[in-house]
Amino acid sequence: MTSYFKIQFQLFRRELLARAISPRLIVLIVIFGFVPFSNYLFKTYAIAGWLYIAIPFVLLVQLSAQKRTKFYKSIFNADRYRQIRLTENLLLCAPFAIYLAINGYYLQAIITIILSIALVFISYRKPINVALPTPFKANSFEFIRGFRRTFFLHLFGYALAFAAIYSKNPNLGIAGILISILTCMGYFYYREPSFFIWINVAPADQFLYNKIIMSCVNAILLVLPSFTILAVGFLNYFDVFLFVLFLGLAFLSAVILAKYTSFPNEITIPNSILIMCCIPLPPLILIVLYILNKKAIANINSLVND
Amino acid sequence: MIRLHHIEKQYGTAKVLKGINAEFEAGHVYGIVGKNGAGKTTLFNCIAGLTSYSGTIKSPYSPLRTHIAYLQTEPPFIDKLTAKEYLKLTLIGRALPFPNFEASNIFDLPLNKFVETYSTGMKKKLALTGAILLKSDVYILDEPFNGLDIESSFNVTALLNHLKEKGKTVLVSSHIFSTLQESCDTIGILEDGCITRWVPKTDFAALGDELKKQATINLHKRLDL
Repeated sequence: MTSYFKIQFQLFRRELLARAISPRLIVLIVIFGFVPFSNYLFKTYAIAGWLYIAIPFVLLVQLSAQKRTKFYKSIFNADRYRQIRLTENLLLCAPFAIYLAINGYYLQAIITIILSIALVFISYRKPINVALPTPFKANSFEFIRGFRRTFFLHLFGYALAFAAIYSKNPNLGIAGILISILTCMGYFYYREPSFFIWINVAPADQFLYNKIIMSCVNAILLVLPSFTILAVGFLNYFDVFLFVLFLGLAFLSAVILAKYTSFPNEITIPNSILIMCCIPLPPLILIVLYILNKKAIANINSLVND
Repeated sequence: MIRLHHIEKQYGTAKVLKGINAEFEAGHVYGIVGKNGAGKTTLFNCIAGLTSYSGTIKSPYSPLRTHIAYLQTEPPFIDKLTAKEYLKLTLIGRALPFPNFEASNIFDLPLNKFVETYSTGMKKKLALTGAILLKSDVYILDEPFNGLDIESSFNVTALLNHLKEKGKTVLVSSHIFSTLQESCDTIGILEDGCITRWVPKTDFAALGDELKKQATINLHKRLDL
């Protein structure tokens, strides 16, 4: 098992070095940045406790991807496989669970640990060859493929909205909305083959505009069930829900632009940091959108040689 | 007419295309042959605008890219999308209306299945169907016969002739010389990054013999026979 984690560490290190990032710097940021950042988050946002369930959950789901688990199942025997999966899941959720427990969020800490144990036994994306119908247009392929892979995350978001009504806790409902929007953002980490950019007749600015508008409409469609439940259940908080939704859509637009700024490569670390800087300072997102839009147009124009 | 003037392409220090000059007229099918790595796909990518190059490409279309239907050697697809969704995606990209997909399904593909469940040949047929639906002025077909069964190969040959009759400009590459013999008007030999000569239809038989001889001589030499 030690060698397994050594290899994982090597892979992670190589990935960082390939992006010209010092692994030591990342370690230092994680060690010394996690607590101050968490303190700030928990002071500023009442839903931070639920967010600290959602963040490790999304990361744990990545670790449970079938492509990964299938490979490890073929290498290790069942006991060793479960041992490794449990260790990596617990290691991943440990900082969140410990922070939650120390700060008195016992329920959230327990949920995080339960999720990390439960996901050892789940390997998502079973080979279902039935095309799940979606309400999205064919050019919203990110949403079609994303929804077919992660529809359960939206169901989880809706369940949180119901739980919010039941427990009379609007913050839980906001977490539900955020889960759906974060899931939508995740759809844009997929990089389609350049051919699908090449085939478009629309100029770069129009292409990006269409992509953003359509994605916002699709995201609203996916958030609508949670939003409706919460709006009916907590009429006084309607403006808060609306603010969260619009802020989420602004971040979604930023992720789309960040994707096409570095396409066909992955979203760059500086752009990710730029977007993350807007979390404590939401109005900053407008400037970030402007910068990313200019960069994305230039990049798309460079991709097609007209 | 599409005119290529001194097209050059370099990957790092390796010069793949070394100044290609060519003219492609409408209503003609042009074959491009060459060894693996000769630069056929790179040349097609340059014409299609999928990669940068030096030199000039002049055409009556502006931009040329939007008038091209391009079938790549290994057509790219997006997982978790059905074949019909793939076709719709390409049509929306070109701002074209949706046809009757059942009627347009010339290869009788199961359009409601995920593309990733398709075989290599089926994927090729799907990409070809997508290219045909674009109703473009220029068709670039890179290895369209690869992975196809005999019946489909005949269909593709018939399709090439149909495109020619419709006045389209068609560029096609293939490792199966006989398929090019049947459908092309001219064949260009791409060697070491240059088109060394253009062979007219009347000389195809001689060209076939020449290529066969070259290949077998090399093989015999290497096998020390």
